[in-house]
Amino acid sequence: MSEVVLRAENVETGYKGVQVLWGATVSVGKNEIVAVLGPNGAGKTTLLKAIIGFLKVWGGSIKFLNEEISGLPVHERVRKGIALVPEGRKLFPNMTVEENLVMGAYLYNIKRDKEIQNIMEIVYNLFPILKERRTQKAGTLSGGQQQMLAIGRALMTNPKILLLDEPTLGLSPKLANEVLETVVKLRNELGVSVLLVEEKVLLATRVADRIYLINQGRIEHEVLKKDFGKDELLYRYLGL
Amino acid sequence: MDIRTHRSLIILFLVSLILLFVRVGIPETRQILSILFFYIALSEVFNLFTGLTLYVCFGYVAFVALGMYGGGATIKYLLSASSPPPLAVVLACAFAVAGILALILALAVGWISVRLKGAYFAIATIGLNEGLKNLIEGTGIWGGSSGLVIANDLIQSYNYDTFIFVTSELADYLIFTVYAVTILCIYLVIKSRLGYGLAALREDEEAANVMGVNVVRYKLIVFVISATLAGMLGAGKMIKDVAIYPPQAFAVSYTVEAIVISMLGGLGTVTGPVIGGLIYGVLKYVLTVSFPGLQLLALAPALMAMCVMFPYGIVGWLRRRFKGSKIESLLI
Ligand SMILES: Nc1ncnc2c1ncn2[C@@H]1O[C@H](COP(=O)(O)OP(=O)(O)OP(=O)(O)O)[C@@H](O)[C@H]1O
Ligand SMILES: [Mg+2]
Repeated sequence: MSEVVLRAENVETGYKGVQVLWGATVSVGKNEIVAVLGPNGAGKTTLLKAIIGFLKVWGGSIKFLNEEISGLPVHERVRKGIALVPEGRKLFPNMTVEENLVMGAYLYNIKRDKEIQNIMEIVYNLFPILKERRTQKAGTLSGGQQQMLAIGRALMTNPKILLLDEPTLGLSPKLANEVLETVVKLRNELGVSVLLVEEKVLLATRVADRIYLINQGRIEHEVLKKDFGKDELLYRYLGL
Repeated sequence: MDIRTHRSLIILFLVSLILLFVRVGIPETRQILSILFFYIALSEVFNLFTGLTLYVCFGYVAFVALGMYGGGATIKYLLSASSPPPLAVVLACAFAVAGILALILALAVGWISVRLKGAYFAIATIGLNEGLKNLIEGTGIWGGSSGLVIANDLIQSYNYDTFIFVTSELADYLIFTVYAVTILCIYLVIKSRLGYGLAALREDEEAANVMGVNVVRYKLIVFVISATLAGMLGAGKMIKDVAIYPPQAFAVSYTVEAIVISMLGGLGTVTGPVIGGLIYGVLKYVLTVSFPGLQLLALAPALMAMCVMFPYGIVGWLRRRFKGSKIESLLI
């Protein structure tokens, strides 16, 4: 692996005294797409919440570009270049597609229209459907379109790493494929690293460079791309 | 700066000014309109925080009361000197103290409570009123349960005519000034980066947070501004009422009217409280005349009906109705 963008080490956290993560360690390199696979309730969302800062870590460390960030509030982590597309997308349903994107560019000085236009152009190139629908209310988009908007909005913060929480949830196989293809495309074209949480193992193996298997709050196993075809444990997950 | 970009605000200000002078020009409307104006002003203050964040705060009674006490005590203190300072200085100090006290209380309460989620925040602010009331009655400060009266101080330090002018004229202008400052604040906030962040926060707080919005700080900023203005409104009310007694001062009812007015007019809008306030005032008046004694019984269903008809307030409804036209751009 080349330069490490994000490294969460021995992360322990949970909710109101109930521990969920028991020393989870994951790292993501530059230009890498890393998938975290695991069953419902394994702690995948919890891991992303700890990385973005919605949850304080109880133990362990989170380093972004070699800097400890586990003490920073969410908005400062975003400022440093971490973007999260949360589970369930969390769009602003009453705002239009374009307004959602502009909100994503909130970090920039809003007066600097030019900068926003540039990023928006990049997002529209990545997701032409969003450009077509730019005056439509976000809440009225189809599931796949909403997911694309959620990813597009996250890209507006100009992140170095994108955290995606089950982006294919509730999508048809065809749409799920489309969404993941754009994830690969944005990695290739924008050089953004991706930490992808998935339950659909087969889909994940198609786009990921590396896979972590998480179970009951622990990272059980790490699989490199060259072993995707023959890893025993991964096979067992496939059967899930 | 191009004045035309702020046309909507200027028109709203002029309309408000006309209302103020109707009140002065037609003596019969004086009492009703100045009370209504206080409600509209309080409703704008409420809107500045709750309208922009959708966090319901029940603590406005406490901020207004604190402003009344702080302003009243300041006036009493300054007038107790052997040669009282000029009236303008006394009033300016009263407003400053009222604002500062409310600001400090809001910072202390807000620092912790804006971190709470909506419903818990609302509950936390309910305790504020009772807490302050018990503090005043229990410790006996500011007259304790027997209240704080400044009428005599004003009459003796100046003269009776001045007293009448201050309480029946000047007080309304001062309340109007706080109102004008409040609409200016809401307007500036809505147009700013802060307002942008708040718009996102209103729709989804976590999403706003991952867009890089410092949600805690933003909520705290508007909470503190709004509370400070509420305190100053209290100083205006004290100058008008010249007395405050704990039972009335901490009665939640008049903040409820402010809440009703801003919901009726449109939460988070600048024009909403004015339009909502006028409709509410007329409605209440008509119902009082046609069902004397039963007006409150008739008012509740009428308000409920209006809330069902206009779920986004009257301004929200008008904005949809006149979408894209000039009228929409005036409905800030
Ligand atoms: N807000 C919360 N409060 C308390 N417990 C929670 C909360 N959110 C999640 N949990 C618990 O933490 C554990 C891990 O949840 P998490 O959401 O991280 O799972 P997940 O791997 O994302 O699952 P899924 O695939 O269903 O999204 C679960 O046992 C869950 O019940
Ligand atoms: Mg999850």
